[in-house]
Amino acid sequence: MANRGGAQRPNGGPGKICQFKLVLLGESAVGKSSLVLRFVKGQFHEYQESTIGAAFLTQTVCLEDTTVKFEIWDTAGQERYHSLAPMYYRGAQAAIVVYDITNQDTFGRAKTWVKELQRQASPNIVIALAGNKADLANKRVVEYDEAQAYAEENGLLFMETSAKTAMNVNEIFLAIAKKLPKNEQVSGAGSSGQTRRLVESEQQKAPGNCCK
Amino acid sequence: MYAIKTPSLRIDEADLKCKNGCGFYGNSEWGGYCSKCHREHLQRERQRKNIAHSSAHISEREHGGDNAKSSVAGFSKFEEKKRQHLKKTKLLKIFRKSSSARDSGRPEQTQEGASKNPELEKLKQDHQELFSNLGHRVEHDVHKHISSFYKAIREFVDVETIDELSEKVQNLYQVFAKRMDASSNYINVTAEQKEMLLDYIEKYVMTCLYRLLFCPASTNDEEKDLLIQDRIRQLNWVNAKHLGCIINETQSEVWDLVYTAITDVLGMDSAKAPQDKLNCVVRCCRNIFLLLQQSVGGPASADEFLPALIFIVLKANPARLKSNINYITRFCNASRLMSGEGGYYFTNLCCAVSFLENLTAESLNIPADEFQQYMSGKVVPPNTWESALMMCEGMHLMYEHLAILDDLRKRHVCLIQGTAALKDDISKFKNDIATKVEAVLSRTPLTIRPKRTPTDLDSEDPTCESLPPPIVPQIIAPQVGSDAISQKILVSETESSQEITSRQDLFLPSSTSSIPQSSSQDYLSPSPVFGLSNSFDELATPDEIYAAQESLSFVQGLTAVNYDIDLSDLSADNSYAEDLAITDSIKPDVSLPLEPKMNEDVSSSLLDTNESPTAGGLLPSPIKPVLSEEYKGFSAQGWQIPSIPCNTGDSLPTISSQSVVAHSSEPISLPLTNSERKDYKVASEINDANSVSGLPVEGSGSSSQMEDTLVKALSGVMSTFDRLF
Repeated sequence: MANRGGAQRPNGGPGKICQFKLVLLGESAVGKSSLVLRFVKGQFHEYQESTIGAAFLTQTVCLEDTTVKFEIWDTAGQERYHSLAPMYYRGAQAAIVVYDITNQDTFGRAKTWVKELQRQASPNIVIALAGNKADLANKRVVEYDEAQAYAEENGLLFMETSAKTAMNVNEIFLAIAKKLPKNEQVSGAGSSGQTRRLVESEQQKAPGNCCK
Repeated sequence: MYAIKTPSLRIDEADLKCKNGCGFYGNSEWGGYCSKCHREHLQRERQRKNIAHSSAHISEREHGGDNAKSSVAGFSKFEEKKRQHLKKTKLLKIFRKSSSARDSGRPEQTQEGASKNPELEKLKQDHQELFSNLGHRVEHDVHKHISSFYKAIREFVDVETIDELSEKVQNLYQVFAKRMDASSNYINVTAEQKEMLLDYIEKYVMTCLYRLLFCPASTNDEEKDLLIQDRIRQLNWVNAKHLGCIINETQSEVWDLVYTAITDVLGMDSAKAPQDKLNCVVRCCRNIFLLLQQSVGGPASADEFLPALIFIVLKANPARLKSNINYITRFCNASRLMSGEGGYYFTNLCCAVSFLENLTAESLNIPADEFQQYMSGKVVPPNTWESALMMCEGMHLMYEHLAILDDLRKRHVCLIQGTAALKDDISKFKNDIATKVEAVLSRTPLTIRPKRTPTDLDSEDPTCESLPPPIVPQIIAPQVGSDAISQKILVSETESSQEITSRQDLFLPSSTSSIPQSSSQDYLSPSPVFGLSNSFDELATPDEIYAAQESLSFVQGLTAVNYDIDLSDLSADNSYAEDLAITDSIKPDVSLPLEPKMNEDVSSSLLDTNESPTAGGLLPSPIKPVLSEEYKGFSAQGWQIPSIPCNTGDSLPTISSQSVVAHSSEPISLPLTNSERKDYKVASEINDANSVSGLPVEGSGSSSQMEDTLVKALSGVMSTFDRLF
């Protein structure tokens, strides 16, 4: 649904625009928003006045024949809001699961996110695993090889990134853009009706939990 | 909403009166009525209950299933409350159903009413520009589509379920989108304009159908609204810390933004089109980001945003929250909901609502029993919203006051600086003036200064005392027959003597140059006076005779100057008889100050050099020759000269000691003018000097006292003439 508008625009030929919804998942304080801010604004701790929020941002990536517009949805990483995640990643074409290489727990959480995405999100969602804070290599807890092995096992894109040094930040988004299907029919077709119904079912489920 | 704002500690007089407004005081036990109105009210209530009971009975049977369900699963503690609410909703439903039934009976009317809707008019106006750019054909096609759209939905409103209707609406959006791509009418329309057209259609149709599609009777949206409302009310004790929400509670700007965000989310209910409702959510969320930016110190991430949104929803407790959310999800163009900023924020709102609905002790990280206690209202957490709000209000006020104080302080400093600058300016100005004055003084001749001293000498008693001889005439006064006369003599004596001295200066030039009086008149006095004098001469009025008499008296008193003067003043004698007592006391004052003047005029004035001969010759000497030659001319001239003192005599009352006498008599006014004459002398110094220059010649030429007396007589004539006018 998200890229419908872009795909249908009569720009024609090689310069077509595809719009994708990308969800950021991961424990709080692993640097999700830092990663996005680095990617979108090139900022890290030197915020400009215009940047009021890092929760919803868009950025365009140009590939050889297509322009990919990312719509990046940040999610709250706290455990207490975990149950709300499905509402965010519903209808998303891509997801980046972020963990902190200096914190083993965040990697564990990342694994559960991946599992959940594979089970509940749209089947052709592109999932990337990002080991953030790579600049703090001396405090590293999660080994690169371990994460790499896990990513291969689950068919994920994997990179160790650093929002601080900008290492691999653009690269991981570019890799996702390349991996995303540019075929408009695949992403555009039923998503509107389908996702909408999901929203409704969610809402009808919610009161049922507590009251009925 | 924020509970702090609603209760008021003040009780108005009107609150105590009967609710009926009958003027008597009401009683809370009687529902705010006075006893009489309460009884009437009760009767009415009883009647109403009888009617309502029957209908409620029916509805209870209808919804019996719901009721049973809720009592099984719900919180037992709030069963009572809930049941009341359910009853309410049922009653509301009955009314709603009946109203919708009425509407369906007249679909045409609804549409007509819709077209007259001011909101639609406004919508049309807002899009006027768009349509004018796109042309008439597009506008026509769009409105055609709208009307068919409206009819299609309107037809099925009462037949199909809300989900089916939602599906239909979504399909119609897509149909129109496709039509825009396919139809030849829309070839020249850009993608952005197409979006706007789609927007317009959505807004238009949804505003028309709002009443039928928002919270429709076929759904249990309203129940859910009430449930979530109750739930949020129960969770009133939850504060920002429970949610892990970072809000800088001490900053007034942050609280302003909190209020703005709350207002925005509350505004959602009043908007009609789904997009407008969505825009309210977007505005609310942007404000939350702003307030978080201030609290966090950087761009907020979702980790901070979601708790803040939950907090805002919790504190706002928006009306018909569920209905609004469902309305948006059902009828807002799905493409907008699943992407873009609006979609993201709306998803967050849904998350917030979902979180609040499923909130447990774990999600707040507090023990379960504590949670239960808070939920049941047994315990109130110490740091509740209210206390925070109270504190914040206080802080807010304090900050405001501090700001005011700062402002005042600044202004005060400004003022002080201003005064300092002004002071500097003043002192500078003072110095400037002082230097200028000094410069001027250094430039100006010092000879002027001695002249000024004579004015001071008026009051100098020692010098006055040194001049007793002029007072001698007092002794003579009794001879005349009345004290008044003698007093006046004293006064006039001094006057006249002074006048003479001064006049001499003026008179002499005319005589010496042997030019007719006219020339000297032109020089010394205004011409009109001269004219009068001529007429006076011709008329030979009694005054003239009188003057002649005076002149005679002068002759008699030649031996003593004092006597001459006595007679000159006789004219005013009668009128002054009454003033005797006063004038008596004045005597010394009048006589003494004036005498010294005489001396000084003679001794220390500029005329010193010139007048020294006159002083030596005791005044009369220089004048004599002039007068002897042309008596008549001199007389004319003579009485004109006093006209100067006469003119200046207007300022008589300024001299207090003489004012009493001066009121009605001219002769007495003459001495007053002495000081002025002095000034006059200073001013016309040069003239005087010129005129005086001839003095010695004249003085040498004449020496007889007769002529001197004549001069005096003439002065007497002049004074009488003055009196006449």
